[in-house]
Amino acid sequence: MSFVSFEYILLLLACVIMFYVLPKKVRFISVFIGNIVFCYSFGFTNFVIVYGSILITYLAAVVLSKIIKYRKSLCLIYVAIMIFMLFNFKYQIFGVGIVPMAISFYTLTCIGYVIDVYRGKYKAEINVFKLAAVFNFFPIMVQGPICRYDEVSSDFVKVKFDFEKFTSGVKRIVYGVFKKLVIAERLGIAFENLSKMNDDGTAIFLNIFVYALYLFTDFSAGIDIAIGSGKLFGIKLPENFNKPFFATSISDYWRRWHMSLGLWLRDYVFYPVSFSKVVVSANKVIRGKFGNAAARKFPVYIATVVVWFVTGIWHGATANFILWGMLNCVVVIISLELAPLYKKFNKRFKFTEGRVYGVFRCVRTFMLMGVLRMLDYNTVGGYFKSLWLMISDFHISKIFDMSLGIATADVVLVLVCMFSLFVISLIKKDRKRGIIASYAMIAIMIFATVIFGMYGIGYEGKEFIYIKY
Amino acid sequence: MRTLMDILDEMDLYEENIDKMDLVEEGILDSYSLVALVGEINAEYKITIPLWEITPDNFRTIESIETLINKQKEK
Repeated sequence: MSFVSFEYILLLLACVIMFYVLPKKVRFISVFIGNIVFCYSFGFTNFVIVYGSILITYLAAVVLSKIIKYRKSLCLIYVAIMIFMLFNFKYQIFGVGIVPMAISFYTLTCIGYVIDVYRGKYKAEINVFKLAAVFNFFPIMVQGPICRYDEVSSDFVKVKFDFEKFTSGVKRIVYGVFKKLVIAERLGIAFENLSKMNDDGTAIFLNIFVYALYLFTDFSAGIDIAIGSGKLFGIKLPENFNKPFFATSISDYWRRWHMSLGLWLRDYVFYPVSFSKVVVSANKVIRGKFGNAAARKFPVYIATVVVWFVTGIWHGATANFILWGMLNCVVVIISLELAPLYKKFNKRFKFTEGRVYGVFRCVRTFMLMGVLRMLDYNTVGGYFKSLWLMISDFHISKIFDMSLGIATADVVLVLVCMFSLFVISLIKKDRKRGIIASYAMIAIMIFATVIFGMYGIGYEGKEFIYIKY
Repeated sequence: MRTLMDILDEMDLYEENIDKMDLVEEGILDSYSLVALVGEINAEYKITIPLWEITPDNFRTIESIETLINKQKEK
């Protein structure tokens, strides 16, 4: 079942109606049924793997909360099993022919939950159906966001029908569908077309921009639909983006892009590695021999390398993604090393406080990130060849003659829509708008999606990019 | 023994009126500087701040950090 389809809308509607009609105590059943239907639509094998993972997670957490001895060993065995399952099914080591839906996302959600129970952050859920209702909540079973159980396990009993929240959920879904069908689908065609011209430096350069916008509109559209769907059930899913193109450095970019993954890695990889017994012991020696400054850097750098290796391999167990992770790591470590110098520079030169310099930093980060992102769609060899062609074969005059595979009107439409997104991103989210303005916005977006959206009989829409991760 | 302010100064994080600031909101502490700071605190006060206590709320203000240190000292 596609995320942007009539089947999905029907399923969502049916579950929402059931949710508010059922007695409050058994409301979670409507979500549970929705999850089963959605999960089963991807096949029986997918269903067994997904619910098998949930069952293992449920049992591990319950046992962890009951025993006193061997808790750490049990937690480690559980994490090892889940990571093995992730790698096995994602990379088809002992293949079953399919990659289970959203396996990279829900595996991390499950692992985080069990670690939290192990740490005593909260108690294990004893109702397996409620756990499954939250962990397999069907809107997040496409491309996340990665959730924390204590944040999303809203008490279904207490959810009251709030018209304003409900409308805001609908608006968010419509916004997501608009972004996907009107903008991302067109950018997807342009990206595929430009990718074929991999011996043309100008096309490679232009594709950096097209891919950045394509990836953002596609991924954030899916997240909008998920968050909007969650709101209909009173579930507050975490935000995944905070204006990533406004980032002024690579570290800042990663605090704004795919935030749920970043925060998960921070809490379950970065901090644990930084304060692991091995690193702490080694750091004592470093502190004694090289002083406090070196001891401050050592755990940070070790954990940064581990986090970026994990991030790379999470995206794909191929050389291009591992290189992508390591290049990000190098940039982050260099910027950490240069941070004191930047601070002095910014204090010395007042122009660094101005808007022009701010824009320069955003453009610099966008370009650097774009060059790193080329590894998403290139092999390592192809990446270096593309970098060379961008330098040796770039002709600015050719940009406007470049064939994107979409009509000029489509290009204008995408540019207008991107400008609208830019304006929308500047509007404060908490600003109260009148009911008429809210409905007008929904109506305009529905109208624009119906008129300009790329869908219909014979049109094969593109899957969400992040489904492959 | 170094005070918390000494450590922050040594880390080049000290700013005027830092005791009235939201260190997370102001961008003074991010996950990188937080790891470095916790390492320094653990080494200086001979304590071990548990992983689950390393949250933005516990490091939001100088006061909350001092409360956390005192809590760990008492253990």
